[in-house]
Amino acid sequence: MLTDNLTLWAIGYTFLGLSGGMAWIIGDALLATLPPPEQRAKVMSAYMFLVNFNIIIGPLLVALLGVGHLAFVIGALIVLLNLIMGYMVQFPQEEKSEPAHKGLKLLMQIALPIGGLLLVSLSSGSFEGSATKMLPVQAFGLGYSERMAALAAVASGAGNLVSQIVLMALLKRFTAHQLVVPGSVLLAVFALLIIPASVYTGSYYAVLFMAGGIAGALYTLVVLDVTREASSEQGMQRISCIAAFYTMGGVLGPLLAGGLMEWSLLWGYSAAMAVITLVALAFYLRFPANKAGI
Amino acid sequence: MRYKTGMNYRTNLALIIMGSLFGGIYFCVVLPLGGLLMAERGVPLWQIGLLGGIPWGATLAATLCMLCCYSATSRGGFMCFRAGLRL
Repeated sequence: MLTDNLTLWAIGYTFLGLSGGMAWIIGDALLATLPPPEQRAKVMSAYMFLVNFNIIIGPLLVALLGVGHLAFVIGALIVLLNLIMGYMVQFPQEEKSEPAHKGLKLLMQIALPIGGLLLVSLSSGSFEGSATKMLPVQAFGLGYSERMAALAAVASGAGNLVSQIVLMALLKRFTAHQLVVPGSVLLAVFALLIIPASVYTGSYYAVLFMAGGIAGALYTLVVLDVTREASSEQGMQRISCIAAFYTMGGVLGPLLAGGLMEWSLLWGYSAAMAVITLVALAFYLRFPANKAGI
Repeated sequence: MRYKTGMNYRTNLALIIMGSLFGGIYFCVVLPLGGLLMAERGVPLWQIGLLGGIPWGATLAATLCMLCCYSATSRGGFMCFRAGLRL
């Protein structure tokens, strides 16, 4: 039986975040810089599409196996595959480059010109970070069984996956830059639509599917927007910053959603997501990236 | 970029992508599992939210440390990648 000791869960989650964080950022940076420039967009799109399966498969395992040690053990076995593959990855020999700034100076140098986009990525991270954890809690509180509640995260993850395909089609007609504002507005709208949609099971899961899709697409749009006309090194640094703000959203999202859900289980989640998204959008409109040096 | 061995870069990319996929699945099993378990035991929602933010907070800390100390594609960055896998 899994422990219900909050402190032990907190320690486990800390190690999970530290290990996953390091592997994730380096993996993203390698994928963004290893392929030849003309293949980068294709590789990143394929990567985003494939990696989104984890948001579906993870909660789906919980939905199928229930809240018990079996789901945890299978998850742990799967992570062993990650360990084996990670050890097989080969690192390219370092290229000689000019000594660069490090530390906070570097962070400020990268982050300031793309401040608006960083906050948009924070809003995307807020939704995605809280969807995996707080949506099943909300669905459970609304009276769904544990397994059906886990499907709330699956619906959001499935939307994320499908939206990457839709996005690739949209990007043939529009630039990523043009789609950031409509994407943010739609995310706020669909976050609020969760409230009326919760009346029926079908509409509830459909709206979660749409909101999850838009949040996922927004992250891809931000990544594409910050790397346009960027050199390999600039692109990698900006992606690291985007990832930092995305994870900041992952901290803020569940925290704010959890606090507001204490006040209202149904309104709390939507209110938290809409507020974060709209504040980020207002900041982005005030400091759009194209006026800020990229 | 050059490799020390003759590994095809496509194989390397495939390993990174599949590794990320498997690591992500574990992440996405453990998060809803913890959330539902706590909700079932009647833990206040704000505490569940706080707990949900912890892995992301730790990820953020790791990201900021790496961003401050290393270029992600440097030798130090790669050591972090391996260290992350070990953890």
